[in-house]
Amino acid sequence: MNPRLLLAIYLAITLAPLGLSAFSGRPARSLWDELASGAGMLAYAIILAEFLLSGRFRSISRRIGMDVTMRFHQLFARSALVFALLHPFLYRAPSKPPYPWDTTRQLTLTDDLSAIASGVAAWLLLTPLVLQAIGRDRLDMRYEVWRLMHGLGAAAVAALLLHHTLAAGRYSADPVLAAVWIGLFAIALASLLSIYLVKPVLKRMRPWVVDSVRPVAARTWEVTLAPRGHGGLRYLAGQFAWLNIGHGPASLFENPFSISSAPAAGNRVAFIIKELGDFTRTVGRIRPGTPAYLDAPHGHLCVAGRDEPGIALIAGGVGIAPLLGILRQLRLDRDPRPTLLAYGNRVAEQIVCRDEIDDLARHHGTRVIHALQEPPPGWTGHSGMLDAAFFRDHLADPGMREWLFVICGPPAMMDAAETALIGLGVPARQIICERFRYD
Amino acid sequence: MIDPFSRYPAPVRHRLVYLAVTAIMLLGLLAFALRGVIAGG
Repeated sequence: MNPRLLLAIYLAITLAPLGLSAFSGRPARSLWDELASGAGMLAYAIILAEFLLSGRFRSISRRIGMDVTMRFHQLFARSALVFALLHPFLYRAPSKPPYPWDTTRQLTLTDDLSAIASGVAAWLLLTPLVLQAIGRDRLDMRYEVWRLMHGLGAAAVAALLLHHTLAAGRYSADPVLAAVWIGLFAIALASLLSIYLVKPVLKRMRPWVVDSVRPVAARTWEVTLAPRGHGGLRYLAGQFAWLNIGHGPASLFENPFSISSAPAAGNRVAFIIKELGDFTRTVGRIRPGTPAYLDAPHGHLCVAGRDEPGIALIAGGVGIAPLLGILRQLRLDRDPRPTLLAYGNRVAEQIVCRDEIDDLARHHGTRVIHALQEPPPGWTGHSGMLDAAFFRDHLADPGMREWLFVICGPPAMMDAAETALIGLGVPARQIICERFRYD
Repeated sequence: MIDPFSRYPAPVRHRLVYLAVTAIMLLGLLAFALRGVIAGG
């Protein structure tokens, strides 16, 4: 879907309750009371839209990228929190039984304790829900536990707010607006159910099995999966998958990993995984034959369909995984365009698939520039990081300004690369990168 | 079509789009809240 159309739909969803309220025929109240109600409605609409932004829906993420979808999920959660926190403090009208002549509750707020209690409970739950997500990396909590708590917490907030909005909301007395709230809530709930109920069923129908696990660098492994009883996965080189190895299809034990294989190489799918976190620490001990499930394909780190005259791939560490998939695909396609791989690591032992990369240089003509922060004696590649100076030295050729640049690696390296490329006059549309860490 | 954000890296572009959308939301909220004041003169 077109990014501008997506933004327009997002604004329509989040502003629709305000618009319907404004034209509901109810007389306006004081500025502060209307601000309070408006902030509450805006917060709830944003919260319900958050479910769609976190739902791994390819119709939403295909054009703008899963990382951008998730980034907006993170950012708008902050907006929802601010509007929700302000909501109760902006009211000036008293909370008491309505005056007999005030049939539209223009002068008082509801005094129904259950309607207020559900709002207070959601209000109290929302702050830790958002703050916990922002500070997740600093929490001593497994990703799977956090994910379960986040999903259940969000569903509880949405349900409590539906009750609060319908029971206490002055404008929700309008049946059209009440129907909109119920409809938006149903869509949000359906998006949650699609991830936790529908996707597991689909995954069970397309099981995978670990075919091989081989070391490709220090503490880094390439895990290859083979389809079991189906034709495999239709994907583009450079995309990623949520990978679940050794757990049931409904398990929360799944993590996103870039696919390092090329679709043209066959129906096996490979992932390059570095030993870093809970799951990845054990990756070297995975046995062939272990069952696996994939939620894939996702991501837009792809060169398929791009017609730039050359392709430069810039990788840091294990960020080589999707770029290796792209290079493998370009080689199998016998793509005649020039390619360049700039690949940074700390030490030589961390260079992933070094022999294969050398082979790509020899037989596909890829220009490879290795950069090491701690080079060994006699190192002939670049010494240092992939920083602004590196990009100025190696990518400033005016002929490369028309190229496509694909970047994957640590956030600091991606920032340096993108900033340097834009500084060199490369248009943003020719730079592809995916980021999954922002806060 | 000219993209006004194309000179910025992706994180900055995303933040600018976010701020633009938030500004539209705030305008919508203000219009909603002020309609009584405006109608009342």
